[in-house]
Amino acid sequence: MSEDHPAAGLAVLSLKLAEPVPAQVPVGAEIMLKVRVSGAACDLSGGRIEVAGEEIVARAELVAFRDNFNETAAFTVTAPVRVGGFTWTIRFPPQDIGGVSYRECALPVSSRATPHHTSLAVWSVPSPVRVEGGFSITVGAKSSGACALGGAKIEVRNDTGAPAGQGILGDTPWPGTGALYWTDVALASPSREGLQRWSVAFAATDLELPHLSSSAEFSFTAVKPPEHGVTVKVTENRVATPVADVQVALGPYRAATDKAGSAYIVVPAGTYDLAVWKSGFGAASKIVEITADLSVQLELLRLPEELTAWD
Amino acid sequence: MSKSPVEAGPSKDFENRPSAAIDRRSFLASGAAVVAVAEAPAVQAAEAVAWDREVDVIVIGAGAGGLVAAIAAREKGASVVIVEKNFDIGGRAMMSFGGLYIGGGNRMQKAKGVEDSPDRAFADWSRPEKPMGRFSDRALVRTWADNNLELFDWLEGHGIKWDAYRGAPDRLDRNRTRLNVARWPNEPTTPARGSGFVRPLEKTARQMGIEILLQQQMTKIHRESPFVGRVTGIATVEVDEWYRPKTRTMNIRARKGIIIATGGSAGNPVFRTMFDVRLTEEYQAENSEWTQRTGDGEIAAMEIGAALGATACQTTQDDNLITKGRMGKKSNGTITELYPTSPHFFRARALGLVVKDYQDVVLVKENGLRFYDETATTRDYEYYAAALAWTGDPKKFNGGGPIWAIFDADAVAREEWDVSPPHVDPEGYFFSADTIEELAGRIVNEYQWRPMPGANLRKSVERYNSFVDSGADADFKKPRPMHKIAKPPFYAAWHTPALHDSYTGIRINTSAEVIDLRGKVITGLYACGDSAGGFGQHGICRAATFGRIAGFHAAAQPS
Repeated sequence: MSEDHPAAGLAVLSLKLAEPVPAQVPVGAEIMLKVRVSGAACDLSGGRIEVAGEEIVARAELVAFRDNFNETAAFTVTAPVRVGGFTWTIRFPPQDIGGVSYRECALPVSSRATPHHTSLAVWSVPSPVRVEGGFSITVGAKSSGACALGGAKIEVRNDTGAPAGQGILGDTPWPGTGALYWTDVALASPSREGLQRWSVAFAATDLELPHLSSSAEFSFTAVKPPEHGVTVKVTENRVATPVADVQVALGPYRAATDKAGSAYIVVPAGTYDLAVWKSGFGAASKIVEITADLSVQLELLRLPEELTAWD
Repeated sequence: MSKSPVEAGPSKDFENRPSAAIDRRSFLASGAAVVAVAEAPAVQAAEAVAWDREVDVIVIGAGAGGLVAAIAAREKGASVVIVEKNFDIGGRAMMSFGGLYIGGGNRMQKAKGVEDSPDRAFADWSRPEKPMGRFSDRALVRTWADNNLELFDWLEGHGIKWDAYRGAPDRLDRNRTRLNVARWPNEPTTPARGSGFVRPLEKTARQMGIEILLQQQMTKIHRESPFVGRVTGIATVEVDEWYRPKTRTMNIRARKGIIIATGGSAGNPVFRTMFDVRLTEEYQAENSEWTQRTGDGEIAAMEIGAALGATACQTTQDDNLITKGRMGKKSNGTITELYPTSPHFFRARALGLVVKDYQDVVLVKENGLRFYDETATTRDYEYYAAALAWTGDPKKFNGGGPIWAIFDADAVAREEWDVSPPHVDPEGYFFSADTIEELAGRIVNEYQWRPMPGANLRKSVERYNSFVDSGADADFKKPRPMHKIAKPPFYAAWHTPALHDSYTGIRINTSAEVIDLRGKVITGLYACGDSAGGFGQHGICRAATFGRIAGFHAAAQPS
């Protein structure tokens, strides 16, 4: 015992975290801890701190002495990789600091390791799709822990829930994304015409860390093979000038007008809603019956400035 | 020197009209609801104020109304000080399109062969069939109309250069269109045209010896006694660039008059919810990074007894008091235009993105659900009703919370948006993610009361995408949905409605004198621009009209 701290070795030290451990943490996540030791009225810098589960998972050192406590710098501890509740014991092992012996003290902390989430994106779905043919879509999967998902399997199911195709995620994320692993999936077209709602499933098995599975829906329209060419010509009402960059939808088929205000679409015979859209104009539509090649004229009415001016 | 401005005959002044003397005819002619005018208590002992300086006329605010008022007062021989809380002049007008509803048959109209007259101007702007015209004080509308021709010449005489009349009439105009000012060259704050109004007037004001005190916020209007007597001056405090008060305060005595031109109350949630309780704090006043418009003048005037005028103008649902706004930044008025190098960019943090075609986005509420046809026009008040509707926050029943525009990489390409700073503000107002569900989880914003449920947003997008296939929006009847939201990455941009301006304020008479709750003039106190109520006309011309009248009238007062 030193004369300066006659009772130091007998002082009851206690441990505390600067911020509590969250009640739930994703498996394998890095958690920041900062440990405070109070009960000693002197500087314990250099003192050792351990964090142990079944074995020691982190070590830290007391670096700062404040008014009534000593503190470590922030250090990281990795959460368990298995899902479930876990307890860590934060220990101040018995040690001598500055010639004074200190007894052990400990603080148990508990939390729960949870699996990562996954989520999906489905894109490049052609619509409409011709019946009896084939088509392909692109599917990407994302782990909430940004884990590499390359090699994992994607399954596509049709509107009856029956398997329609599958793909294996590649090893490189989709350009512009952080960690969206993706694959093209080749699919057989449905034999039935009309709106289809299919689904994509990601079964999160065989990954390094536990993940939850996920699913997403996508839709498309299945159609008969096209046979007639339809020219849609869009002009501005009254002035009769062609309007370019107009979005044109003929049933499920979509196109945009060129500089001459014209769009060309090939469709099967049938009766269709023809709808056109351009910002700053009123929407316009008409019903057209197509039995042969056809040219259709549609007029757009410019919205009054009062409705479009923002000032 | 100009002639005195034209004032409408009736309603000039409610002063010295004991209630017993108001016969039915003059009561109706006054257009004023003067009910039970009590005898004024005797003026109490004048407030003891230590004056730091003294001037004839104080103008509070250096925007369109304030600059005009200051020049008008100076022109009539008064010494004038303007106090402005921003670090530069200009106010709301600086960021505006620089358009004035001005006509009456001026030189430019004649050159175009446009027939116009003050009578026509008055008729247009007091049209009863339009809510925008229905609720205005017609004495003020008449005064505006009767001053149009003189004001046109007066503004030209003080440095304003005109560009041209707009192509088509808007708002209530039938006989004329809006006249735009010419751009001010090399304006560093904004590409908007409004600097073409305020910079020439600033130059004129400085040449005339008007002192402009920047970063001085008015905190109080002194009156002889709390609710009686003339106004005597103002208290100010020096503020920093975030309007935080510093230690230096000042009392300025006004020998002749005080003119309130503080720009209205669009930026004050407490004040504006007096008129529309839905407009809670998440709605940002357009251009508030430049001009706060926190109702400072209204509050100071009401604290000494002022009334508000024609408050129904604030809730006509006929003008674009609310706008859909641009997106990806907090202060997101649609025409919020600035440069990354603008001196106030530090407050804006982003330029924002403008949606050219609402087929490119879906709009969802804080809960991840769509709520309306995204292509709604700016004056579709059913859109705002849906946007401002309650969605379940147990602690906040008014206001509708954030609106988020959700879109994909293909939309970015079609719109040619740059989705990185300085165009967007990733600190709470713009997010991107690899999937839609992940995007919902990324949204963390000061007005988002709970995390957006990812499953809701995914289902909203999947359902919308199916509408693109089926050809019809079964939920909100958007015109034929054209584009899916499918290609990663995905984006969420703040797209909460923004508040354009305010359309009510302090009650004034045709001399721009402030009227109190008993219908009496508060001697020496004036208001103009968006701080003044009574005339629900948007923009600069109303501010200039009543600013000029106030300046002339104040300068003519005895010291």
